[in-house]
Amino acid sequence: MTAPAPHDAPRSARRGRRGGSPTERYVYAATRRVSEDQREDVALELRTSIEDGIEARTSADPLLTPDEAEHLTLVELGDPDQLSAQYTGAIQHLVGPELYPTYVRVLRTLLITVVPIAALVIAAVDLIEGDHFGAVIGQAAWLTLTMIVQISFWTTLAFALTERANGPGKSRTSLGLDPWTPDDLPEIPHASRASLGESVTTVVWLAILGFLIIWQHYRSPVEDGGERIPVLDPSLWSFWIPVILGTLVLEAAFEVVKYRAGGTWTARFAAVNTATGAAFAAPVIWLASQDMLLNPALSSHIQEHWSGFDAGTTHTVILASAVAIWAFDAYDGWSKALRH
Amino acid sequence: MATLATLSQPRYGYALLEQLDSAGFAVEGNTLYPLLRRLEKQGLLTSEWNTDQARPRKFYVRTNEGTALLTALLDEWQRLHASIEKLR
Repeated sequence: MTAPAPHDAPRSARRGRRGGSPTERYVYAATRRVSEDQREDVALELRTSIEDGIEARTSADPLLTPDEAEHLTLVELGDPDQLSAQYTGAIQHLVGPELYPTYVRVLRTLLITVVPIAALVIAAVDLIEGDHFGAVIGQAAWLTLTMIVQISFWTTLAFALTERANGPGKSRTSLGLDPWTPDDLPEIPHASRASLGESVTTVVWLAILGFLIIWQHYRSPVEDGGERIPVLDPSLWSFWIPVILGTLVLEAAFEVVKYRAGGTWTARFAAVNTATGAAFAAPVIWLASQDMLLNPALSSHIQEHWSGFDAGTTHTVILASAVAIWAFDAYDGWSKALRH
Repeated sequence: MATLATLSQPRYGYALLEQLDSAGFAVEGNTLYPLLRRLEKQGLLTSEWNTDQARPRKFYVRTNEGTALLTALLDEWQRLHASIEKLR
């Protein structure tokens, strides 16, 4: 169905006001986001409807000037953006009721775990550095605020995208045209709420870890005479750190694939999870066992302030943590897979 | 449902709005016009431009599918009404 060629300019447009008549501006505002192939059709119909409305008002009340009638008609139609959204069927919310509980849970979990840990770590590092107490508090407060903003933004973005990715299905059954039969049952849940929360949490954690690895190099909290000392050995950037960052991306990709596949743990996912976990843990464990992870400059700098600091012990702790985290993650995946 | 019931005869947006209004359905234009488009997209209505009059108007009319859905909805309505009556 095509719209007829634009007819003679409508009455309202002939008033020759700067920037077009209110009707023209209203039609423009309401249709600018409608897809191009329909826009002219919708605009023409809407303009006619508005003119019909104006006419009905002026004939019902002869005292009304055309401008007043136009004004009243447009007021009755309401916000053109809302009308536009109805035409395009655009989602008018960021996170809908279906995802909202998961969203709140994930956001809360991340905020109450990540933020205090990060703030405490930074405050501890600054104290060891011998900063003023006030400066320590200020730094920690600033970092807390930044973390809250960053985490909230990325989590919200992830959920908003998920909301838009699963568009509402418009089947004949949902319209009530065909009677419902068991054949219409959906496939095994695309992904349960728990698994979405799990996936988003994991991806956000991975992003934070990756961010920290980059951050410690450029914005290390440790300074010596105005020069920042990276926490990790800068020579690792030539090979090992890119490898480790790559494995983080790999793990994040795995989470997305798992979620898209239905979010249920299968034996194969558990195996892949063990492998990607190992891919991340192996370089870390090897570097820690060779005492190659920490920046030697950092170690000697800390020893100036705190003679009890021992790089070897720190590497042992890192090694043990990496093994423990990998083992727990692998065990967690297998136990979930075998339960199904 | 009221929209579907009214559109056994072809009508254009504003006329339909007035008719629904006089029948006691306080529908607003900003709900009705997009609704007509949606129903058309779902194949329950079909439309045609009529350029015979001073203003070109888009006339909507129910399709066979629209009629089928209306009948189904009316049956449901009747059943509900009968059930409520039995409870009184």
